[in-house]
Amino acid sequence: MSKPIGTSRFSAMSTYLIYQDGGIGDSQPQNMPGTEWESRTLHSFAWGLYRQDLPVTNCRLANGQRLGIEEIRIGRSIWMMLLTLVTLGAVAPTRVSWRCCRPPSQSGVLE
Amino acid sequence: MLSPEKQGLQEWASVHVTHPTTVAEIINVDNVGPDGVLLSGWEMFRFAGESLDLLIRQARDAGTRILPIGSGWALSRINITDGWLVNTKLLNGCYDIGDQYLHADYPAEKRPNVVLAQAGMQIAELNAYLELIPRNDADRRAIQAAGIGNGQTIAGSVSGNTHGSQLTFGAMPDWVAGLHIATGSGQTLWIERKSKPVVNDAFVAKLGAKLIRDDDIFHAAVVSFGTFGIIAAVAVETAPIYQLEFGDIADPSYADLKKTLTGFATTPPANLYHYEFIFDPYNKKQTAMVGSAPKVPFKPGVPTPRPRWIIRDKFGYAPGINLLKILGLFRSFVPPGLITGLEYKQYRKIALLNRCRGTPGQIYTSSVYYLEGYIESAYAVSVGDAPATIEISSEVVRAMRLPYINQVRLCRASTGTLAFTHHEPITAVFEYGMLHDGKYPEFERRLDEAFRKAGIRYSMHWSKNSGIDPAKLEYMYGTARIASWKAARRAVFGNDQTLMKLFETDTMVEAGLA
Repeated sequence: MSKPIGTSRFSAMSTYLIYQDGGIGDSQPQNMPGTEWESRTLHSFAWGLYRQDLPVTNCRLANGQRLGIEEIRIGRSIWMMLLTLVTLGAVAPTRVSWRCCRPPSQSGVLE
Repeated sequence: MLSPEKQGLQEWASVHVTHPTTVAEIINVDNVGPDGVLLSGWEMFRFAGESLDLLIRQARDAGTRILPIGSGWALSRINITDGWLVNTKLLNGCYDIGDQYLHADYPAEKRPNVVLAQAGMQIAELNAYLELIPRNDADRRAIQAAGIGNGQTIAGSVSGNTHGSQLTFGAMPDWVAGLHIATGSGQTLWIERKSKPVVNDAFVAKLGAKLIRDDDIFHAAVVSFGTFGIIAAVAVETAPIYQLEFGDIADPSYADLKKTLTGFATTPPANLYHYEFIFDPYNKKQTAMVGSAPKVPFKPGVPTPRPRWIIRDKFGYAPGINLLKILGLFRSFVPPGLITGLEYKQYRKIALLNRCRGTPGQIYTSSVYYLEGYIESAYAVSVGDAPATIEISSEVVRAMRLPYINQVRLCRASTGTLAFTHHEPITAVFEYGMLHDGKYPEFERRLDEAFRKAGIRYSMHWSKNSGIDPAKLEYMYGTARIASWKAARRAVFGNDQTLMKLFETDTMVEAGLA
């Protein structure tokens, strides 16, 4: 599932957006992703005693070279919040979405 | 190299989440070569084109539609498909072209200003390449037209007809000198004007492409929103580095503004490069805000001005994604004029360029993460019709009690066959941001009715509209332009109906362009 949280009406009750900013000459936009969104729902159990990690494997070129992450969105739907509340935090799901960086631009002169 | 995500059917939405959809697959294309080595130079351009051509043939074999995607900034359904979505953003190389590969007739003084940029290069990356990487000021260059932001890809901004506010130049498609396109025929194409050739046969041979030198095909292919195949690279005509100098925001009366616009229709101003104005349809004072700038010589060391459209405060807080959805619920209780009054003040504070100087790469950096649930309608008229359009637009807005202000940017008429910025001598683009609800198509329906009643020729922005049908398309462009565009498309695909159908989006079918 690549759909980030909050892309339909009131589907997210809390969201955070983390992104790169600035760049060469301070004139780059606040995010310059190279890929589309990828998303996963992660769970934390027993008040953090056991957690679900998220190894990111899609941020790479076809030869395996890593690109890094450009932008992350974290959010919770009302159902995730209710589950956390009902279980008094013993089960705490979160939706995480990310987009990868662009590769460094190749440049020169065509001779 | 092609890298399908191999996730099969998946939900996808543009940056502004205006039309969520399900695509059959997302395929990333990058510059890694067959041996796993990151390619550069000629090899990079050639292999990227061949990879895209191969991908199109695979789509044909799979019987699925295919559509390239840039940054996904379009607010209309122009970038929506149910087939394969091709992510070109990893194709972001840019090279100067050696003199020996430029056409003998191409003017000597312009030769250092032509670059070959890959389709997925972001405008911000192109600006950095042109303005910041050269060590000597004399070698720095700048793009000749830009939108208010720089997050679009080169191919996306060109084929979707992104416009800026360049009174004496045109819109972004107007800086294109040539196109490297993959159509699935087994050999890529290099398309340029016969009347203004830019590269020679040796250049085309290096790309492994077939040369099409034809004005009609070039003008049609430039604004073709992904339906002429997949653009692999673009030859960009840039200008020697320059800056723009914005003074104080002016607050003319409607009467003075209309007089200025009427004057532009007969005598385009030689001393202004950027010109935009904002008006509040409910403003009883009948005044507008004007931001304008002349082109001035490059002065080294000018710091980048504070970016406009940054809606995050100094503590990092910004409106959340549910804000507009909540505001939409209250809209019917609050007088629209009260909301537009607040918007007007905020626009002056955070959006309109004011008392700053900089290069295009420093000035046009807006990258607001559009609020989800927001959409825009943009319609273009000749500048001579702009005074009447202020009234028409305001009347429709007031009749529908819509609580939004209007932004208008002016640019010289474009040459693209279906460029919505084609209105001579200067095109005025009216942009109207609003909530994405049932009032959006109704707003455009009423506008269309009012324009026809007033006898004003207009055109809708390809990336900012609620839908274009054949009747509307004919009113906007006339039968000759539409026929020319279709003929050019057939020529590009060698009249191969199977390949043409791969690139038929619902939007173009509904518009009668298939």
